[in-house]
Formats: sequence, structure tokens, C-alpha cells
Amino acid sequence: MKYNPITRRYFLQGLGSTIISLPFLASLTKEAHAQTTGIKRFIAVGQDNGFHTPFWVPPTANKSRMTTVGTHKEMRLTDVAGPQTGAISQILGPEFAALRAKMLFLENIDTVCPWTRGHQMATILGGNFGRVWSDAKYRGPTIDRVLARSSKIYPTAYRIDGLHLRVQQNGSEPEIDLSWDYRNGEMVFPTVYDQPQAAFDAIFNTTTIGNSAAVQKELMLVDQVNEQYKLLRNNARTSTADKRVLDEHMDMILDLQKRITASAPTCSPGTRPGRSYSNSSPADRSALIDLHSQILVAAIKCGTTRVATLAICRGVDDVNYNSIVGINLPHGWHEQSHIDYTVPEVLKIYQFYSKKVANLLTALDVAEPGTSGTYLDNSIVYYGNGQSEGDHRYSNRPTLIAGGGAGALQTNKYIDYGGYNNVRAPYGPAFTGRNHNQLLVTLMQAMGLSESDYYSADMISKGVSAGFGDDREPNGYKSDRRNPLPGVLKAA
Amino acid sequence: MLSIKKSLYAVFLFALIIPFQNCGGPFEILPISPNEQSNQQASSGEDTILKNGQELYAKNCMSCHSPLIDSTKINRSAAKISEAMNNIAQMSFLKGTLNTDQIQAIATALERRVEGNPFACSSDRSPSADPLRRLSRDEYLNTIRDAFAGSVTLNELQTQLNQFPLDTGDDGVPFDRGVRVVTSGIFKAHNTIVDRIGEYMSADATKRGVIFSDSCFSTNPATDTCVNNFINRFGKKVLRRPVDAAERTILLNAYRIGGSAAESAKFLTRALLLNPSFLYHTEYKGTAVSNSTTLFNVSSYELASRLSYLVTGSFPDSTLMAKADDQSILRADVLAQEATRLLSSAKAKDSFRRFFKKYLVLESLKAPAFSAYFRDGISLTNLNEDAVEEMLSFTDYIALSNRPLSELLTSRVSFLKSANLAAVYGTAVGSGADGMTTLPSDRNGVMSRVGFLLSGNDSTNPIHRGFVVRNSLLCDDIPSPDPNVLPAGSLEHPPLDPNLTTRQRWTQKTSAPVCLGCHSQINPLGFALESFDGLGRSRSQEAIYDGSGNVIRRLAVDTIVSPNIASADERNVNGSGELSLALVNSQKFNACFVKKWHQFAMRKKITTQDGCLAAQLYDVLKRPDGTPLEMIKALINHPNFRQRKSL
Repeated sequence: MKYNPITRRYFLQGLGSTIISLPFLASLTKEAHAQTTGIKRFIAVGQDNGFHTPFWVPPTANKSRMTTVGTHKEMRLTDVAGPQTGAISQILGPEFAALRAKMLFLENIDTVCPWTRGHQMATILGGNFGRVWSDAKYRGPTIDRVLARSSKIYPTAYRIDGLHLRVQQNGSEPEIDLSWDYRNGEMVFPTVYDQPQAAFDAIFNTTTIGNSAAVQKELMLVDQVNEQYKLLRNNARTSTADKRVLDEHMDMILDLQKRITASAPTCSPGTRPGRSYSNSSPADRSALIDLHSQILVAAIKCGTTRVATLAICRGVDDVNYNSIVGINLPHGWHEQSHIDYTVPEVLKIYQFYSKKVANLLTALDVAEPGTSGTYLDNSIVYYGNGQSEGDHRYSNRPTLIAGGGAGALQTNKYIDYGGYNNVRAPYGPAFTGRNHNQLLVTLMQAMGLSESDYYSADMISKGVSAGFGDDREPNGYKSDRRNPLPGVLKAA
Repeated sequence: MLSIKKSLYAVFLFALIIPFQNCGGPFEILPISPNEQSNQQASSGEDTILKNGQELYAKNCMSCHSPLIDSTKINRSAAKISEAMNNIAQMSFLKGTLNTDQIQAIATALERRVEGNPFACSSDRSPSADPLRRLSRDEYLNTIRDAFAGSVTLNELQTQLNQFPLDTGDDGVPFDRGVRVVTSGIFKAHNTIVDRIGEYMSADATKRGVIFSDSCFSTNPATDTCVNNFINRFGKKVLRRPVDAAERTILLNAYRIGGSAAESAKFLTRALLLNPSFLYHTEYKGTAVSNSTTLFNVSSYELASRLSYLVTGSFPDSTLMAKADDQSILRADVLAQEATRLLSSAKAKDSFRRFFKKYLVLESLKAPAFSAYFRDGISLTNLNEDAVEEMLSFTDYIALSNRPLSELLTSRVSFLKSANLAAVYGTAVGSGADGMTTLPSDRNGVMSRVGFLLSGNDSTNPIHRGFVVRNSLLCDDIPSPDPNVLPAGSLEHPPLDPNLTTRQRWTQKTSAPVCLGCHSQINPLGFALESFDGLGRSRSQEAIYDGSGNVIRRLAVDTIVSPNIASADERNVNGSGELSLALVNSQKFNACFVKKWHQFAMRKKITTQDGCLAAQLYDVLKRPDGTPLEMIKALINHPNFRQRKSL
């Protein structure tokens, strides 16, 4: 962060009397937003506890129908013969039938790391960062935060640069949180909403500032707070190191200004959730995910944000799913995963979550005014899992992408990257596919970023050759980690 | 060469002795005289070698072997260092870089007396750098509670407080007092809480009247004089020092944002509670030491605030503030008097508990998941909570009743009020209101208490127990195992085997050479506690169960270990009692307690620069009448407690 010498007062003077009319600026209304074309959004849906790979991938008979293209094999996703009509796999059932043409199913994306690392949801968007966050080999932002802070995604101030929703995580284990940020050499975590009600209020501004006069007063208060920080910062005794801390704080104050001055949406966000929901209560689990999804969709439709993450289950989730999906297991999901995650009862849990994702995609797949496509067509939705199998494995990670990214992605594809590598590492299972880092690079490039936008000086100083995460690899492993995945980007 | 070494060692010892003479007695306040201030900056010729060695170590060795004060290579001779440079690939870059004298200087810096005080003064006895710290979550809430006493309670802010993330410390300080970074979550929590308090000030005339109690507020609009008087009074309380003119102007502007008395009260309250001098421990008002640009004697208000937040976790009360007003707090006798007063207050107990919770790793006990057959009738209801409370009541006793540190590991005194817990101990609850009793003979100190021993399931976890002792009680940094260099499955617990005890299974599991580097330090400390099962019950045999809960075998537990506290050739100990005594008598345990308290009290990791203060605290602990309480008083009375060095 760099200290902004422009004072709040100067900022206000510049705005002048237009401040009162700011909420009605045409560029910030839903109608105006809809007239713009090519606006991309990035949505990541994170899950944990893994799957059972044979339940996740299409039936193996499809392999013989794939065509070799360079180093991978592919076929049209709509041509996949699933276990039921319209289904892709046992987990991705017929509810995905109408969405398949807008999706990419990627097989054999590997995170090259040992399988003993437990639950690391952060690897979905952050790559292979090391064993635990406190012992991270690489510390840096997850790609959603890179996108959220990019001027290519937000050329001008935006009300919420990243919307982060989750079914509550274990606070003591940041590595199972989906989104991380990195500022001034420190890991920090973005504001994450566990409760739909709080998210709704923050996004749609229903409980804070009521009218433009109130907005102006709030800005004046922020102005005075900022003045207090400047006073301390300019104290001759304040060391450079202390100034960095204060700058960080002032940066957040400036963010607050942006949020106050950005317009409240004029679209209809729907009904405010009426109560709190408990993550640990089976009775609340389904509604909690649904409400988060509805808020996310409303935020996209209202143009409130262009980057969002949704963690739909917590890492080490040990809720008993018997009443949720109609099974009869003596243990919660996590414990059952360590006993046997291949049984039909656990498949029902997997399906419960995939249906939630299908619902989210379907809700986004409605016409976006002013464009020739749907909200989904103009978005990239990445559905990932903190691990591949329920025993903490990281090879062949479940990877589903939906939406075309406003024309950036080739869709309707089932791609298998297996066979690119064949390395039995000195630890963990064999890695046969492409490096997961390439997927992250692909997603950022699809969103319009180039290497200079995400390849920071900090990575260079740590010897990270490209992209994200720890880049240690077993001998003989073909990395190619700096390049996007083949067969995915339209320009590729 | 031998004579040179002897001379160097004499110089080294001299360097140790000279500064000790000036460190002062443990409870004696030394006024910081101009002479002393200049001495703090002076460099004496005698410890040039030591200082050179410290600098060379920091430059060439620290990145791999930890800072000097925690070095993993203490007492390495120059010959050994040279040998390592010649034979260890990672050190080969030093060949040709360091000459013989420089290697000897590093060896001198690494020398520690095996007996006696392990800390050393350097000629510059000023404190190490003090980074800006923010109020921790607990400090923030305590301050809000006290500032708005009689008006807004924390219960009325509960919804907002729930959004406040827990603190874990920054910059390698494990205590929440070491927090520096404001994350977006904390920023939001600050704003949300302050907004709610502002709403109370605006919407509730009664609550507002308690805070804005000056009668002049009945006039609308209130005059500038009226508002400024309020800012001077309430602002001083909140900012822990008088509000200066520039700040007052800003705060008056904030008040004038409102269109009514109620709304103005809201905006002024919010501006005050978002002021950086409220949210951070700002210490920029002191006086420079000998024209230094980085070293300052803190102001009377800053000293009062340091003392108050350390002992009570909140801002100075009116008595202490009055002594800051007249600057008498800067006098040795008054500071000692105030320290004693606050240390005997009820709030001091909370502060001690914050320390001991972290020190004894009581914050993350695993949820109990013991099988019914293993529990054998013992109820798990509130067992974790009761076990933690028993531990903390015991540490209250050690700290506040001025007991020696050794009793932390040896005393059988307990404050046992829970029948469930008493059943685990195989005894009865205490008869008095505080539950004070004496536990059975094998319950010596904290390592034999249930709160320390609970594993959460039917098996013990000797590795966890050993790690806590090694890491927290002995301050040895044990790195996390790197799976990249370990065989698959290395981090899984060893499978149950009806023919092997837990100790035998873990010994097998960790016997590979790649594991032994760390596990030779961890395992013995955990194995010595194997006479207590996963619930914390005493046992001489380990019961092996089948899947139905039937006991199929009973294997004798073996608690004889070579503890390897400081070296691998220590004599064997048998069980927790002997292990506790070995720790009590070790230099490392006492030194570690000093390091931990320094981290807690000074909000920073101890460095070589803090050696003089640490040496004095160590001496206090080792005195016949030395106790943690006396050590804390010595810390408060040390000149470094009254100084701040900027980064």
C-alpha cells in the first residue's frame, strides 16, 4: 500500500456537491451496468472433505471416445455418456444436463504435494503453499484476491471488490479457509460472511446509511478519522515501520470511503434473511447454502461485485448428514471419510453439494440485459475441492468450470490431462497430469490478467518460478507451471 | 592458542560481570540519570569480541540456527565451527569468508554457562526495538467496558463482539499482547462495535447522559468550550493521555457533524473510538535519551498505560492517572507502590490467566471423544472446562500467593471443585469454598494435571505432551515435520497393536534417523508421563481393548527416560515427579519462563539486546525468595520498562 497524499478533504472538494447525487450516477445503476459488454466475473465455489474419484469422473467407457489433442485428450462434454441421462458422473447428476454445454470438466489436475497435509481449502485458489499457513513455504494472495485488487477487473472504485461467503470454518486453522490476502509482507484475511443476514446487510446496505445526507455525514466522519491518522503518521517520532502499520490502517479507511461513496444498488436484492443460521445444525445446513447462493447471485445481478467466493462446507466438516440426505451413518462426514468414503451413503452427501452448485449455476444462467448471453456466460465459476479423495489426497483434483468468461473460455469440453507426467514422487501418490498452478494461471488469464499482474516481485524474491505456491517438484516432473492449461483458453 | 582462549574467556566473563553491576537489584528502581543514559549508549572495549561475535553470528549463522538467544548451537567451540564449515555443504560458503578471529568471536558469543545465569548483558543496555502494537481483542474490550461503565455494557454489544476475530499475536510473539496487524476483519469489527456504541449515544438519552454528563450539554447547540471540556475529560481517559490541541480541533469537528445533541454525541464518540491513539499503544510523547533519535524515556502517561495494560489489561484507573498527571509515577517508589497495588487487584488475576493459558497450551484442548468403556463411568460433562479451571486456579495460587516457580512443577496443591475431575484424580473435591486440597502423591505440578494430560481420546498422545514440554516449558523451537523428506504416512499415528504399549508404538514409528533429530528431544518428555492415561488417570499398566471394549491385555507402562533437557547424557528419571524435578533444577526451564514473561510483558520477542533485563529476571527467579510475582515486579522496575526504542 502506498500512502495517498491526497486528503479526504481534497477528495471531497473534488467531488463537490456531486456527492449527494453520487448514488444516482448513471454508471453505477443496474441499467447502465447491463449496457456494458464483456464484463467478466469470477466466482469460486469451494468444498472440502474430498470426493471418491470414480464417483466424480465420467464413466471410464468415455475414455475410448476421447480425441488426442497435443498432450491431452478431450471430448465434448455433451457427448459424455453418464450413469443417467443428462448426467456427467454419479456426483454430477442430471441437474447439470442443461449446463453441460457451458462447462469444462478437467481431469488429472494435480497439486504436487504429499497427501499427509490434511485439509487445505486454501490450495483451491492459492496453490501449493506449504504444509500449514504458519509454516508456509510461499505466502501470497489467493487468485480471487489478486483479481479483486486488479485495476483490470475494477478500473474504478467498486462497492465490494470481493464478496466472500462461507459456511463457517474452524477459526484456528486458516489453511482451511478459501480466500487469503497478503499485504505488506503479512498474511491477512478478507472479510468473510458466515451469516447470510450480515452479508445481505453489508452488500445491500439496508441497515447503515439511509439517505444521501447521511452519506455525506458519514464521509465527514471518515474525513475526521483520517485526519487523526495523518496527525499521528506525520509525528516526527513515528518510525518507518510504525508508519507502515498506520498506512495499512489508512488504506482500509480509504476503502471504507470508496464503499460509502459507491452507490447502493437500485436492483432488488430479494428478502433479507430473517435470522441467524447455525453451521453445526443439520437442520440449517441446506438453507444456509441456499441463502448464501441467493445473495451471491443477487450481488452479481446488481453489479455489486465482480469477484466472489463461496465456501459451501467447512473443512473437517463433521456434521451428521443422516437427516439432511436421508442416510443412516453412525459418524459425521469427516470421520466417515476416514473410515470409508466410497460407500453409497457418502455419495449422497457428495450429490447434496453438487446439486447446490447446479442450483447456483442455473440461477446465474438467465439473460443478462444488454448482452447477448446470460450472467453465467459472462462469468467464470470454478468449483473446486480442498482435496481430491477423502483421505487427504491432492492428485487428480476435482475441477469443474462453468461459464464462458464473456467469451474467454472454450466450453463444452471434458479434458483429461493424464499421461503428461508419470512420476511417483518420493512422497504421496503418483502424479500423471498437469500442475494445478496451470489452472490458476489459466483462470487469471481468462479474466484478462497477464503475468505481470500476478507474478509479483515478492514471488521472484522467493525463487518461485511462476504463478502461485511452493514450486518444489519431484525429480523428472514436467512442470510447465508458468503456462495456462492447453485446450481451455479461446486464444490458446 | 590455549592462552589466547583463556584470555578471551576472561574477557567474556568480565563483559558479563561489569554490566551486571549496573543492572541494579531486582526490586530497586534506578533513576535514569544522564550518566546512566550515556552509559547505555557507550561501548566498552572489554566486550568488543563478544559484540563482534554477536554481529557475525547474526549475519552468518542466525538464518539457520535461530537468533543467538535461542541458538541451537550453544557452546560450539571455534574448532567445531571450523569443522562444520569444512564438512557441511550448507556451511561451505563461509569458508574464506570468516577468519580465525572471527570464528573465535562467534564461539565466544555462543558460550553459555551450563550453571548459573544464561543471559548476558552487552554494553548497550537499552531495550530492543519496540514496534507499534494495537490493543489486543481483550484489551480493546476491557477498555470499552471500563470507558463506558454505567452506560453501555459488553452484553449490549454481544452481537457486534461476536464478529471480532480472536488474536494470536504477531512477529513471533505467541501472546495476544503482541498483536500489530489490523486485518480487514478486525477493522470491520472495530467499526461495527463503534457504530453500535454511537447508536446508543444517539438514541438512548440515559446512556448518553452517563458519558456526556456535563450540564452544559443541556444547551443546544453546546458551546465549543463545553465540547472541549468533555474532550479533555473523556478523551484523556480513552486515549490514556491528555488530548492535544490539534486532536481537539479534529474531535470538535466530528462533534459538529451532528445536527442535534444526540447525533453529535454519536459522531464524537465514534471519532474518539476510531482514533489511532485509542486503537494502538502509541508512545511518542517521551523524552529523548541523550539526544538519541531512537531511544526515549516514555512519558508519565505512557508508563502508567504500560503498567496498567500489563497488570489489569485496561487503561489506568483514576489513582494511577493522578500519578501520571503529577509525574510521580516516574519515581521509583511510586511506580513500585502502584505495581504492588495493581498486582493485588482482581483484574491482575485475569492478566495472569491470559499468560498461563497460552504458556500451558490450555486454549485448544480437544473435544473429549472417549469411548464409554474407556471412561468407565467418568462423566465428560464440562470435563475440559473444569480441568482448565483447576489448572488456572493453581496458577493463580502460584502467581498471586507469591509461590516459587518451582512449585508450578512440584506442588500438589489443587483447587478441586468438580466431582468429575475429582473422579479422574481418584480423590475427593476440596472441602472449602475454593476447593483447596492436596492431590495424591503422583500429582506433582502442572505436568501431572488433567488439563495438561487430556488427549481427547482413548490413547495417550506422548508426542503432543512431549512437544508442549519441549516447546512451551523449555522454549526449544521444534520445527514442523516436513512431509517432503519423510516417507508417506509418517505423520499418521501408529496403528494399535495389542502387543505393544503406546510408548513402544511411537518409539518404532519415530525410529528412522530422519525423525530422531527432533523426536529424541520430544519423546522422552512425553514417555515419562505415560503413567497417566488419555483422560489423565494414574496407571501402572496400559489396557489394550478389542473393538467391543473388552480388555484383551494389560501391558506395563515404562516411564524411565533420559530426559535430554539440555544434553543427551543426563541421568535417567522415572515418571512425572522426577521429570518435574529435573526441569525445576534445569537452567532451561527457568530461562524459558523469563523469555515467555518478557514476550508477554514487553510485547516483543527477547533478543540479545534484552539480555541484561533477562539476566536480572533470571537472578530474581533463582533467589531463595524468588517467585514469579517478584520477577514481574523486577521487570516493571527495570529501566527498560520505562524506555522505548523505535524501529
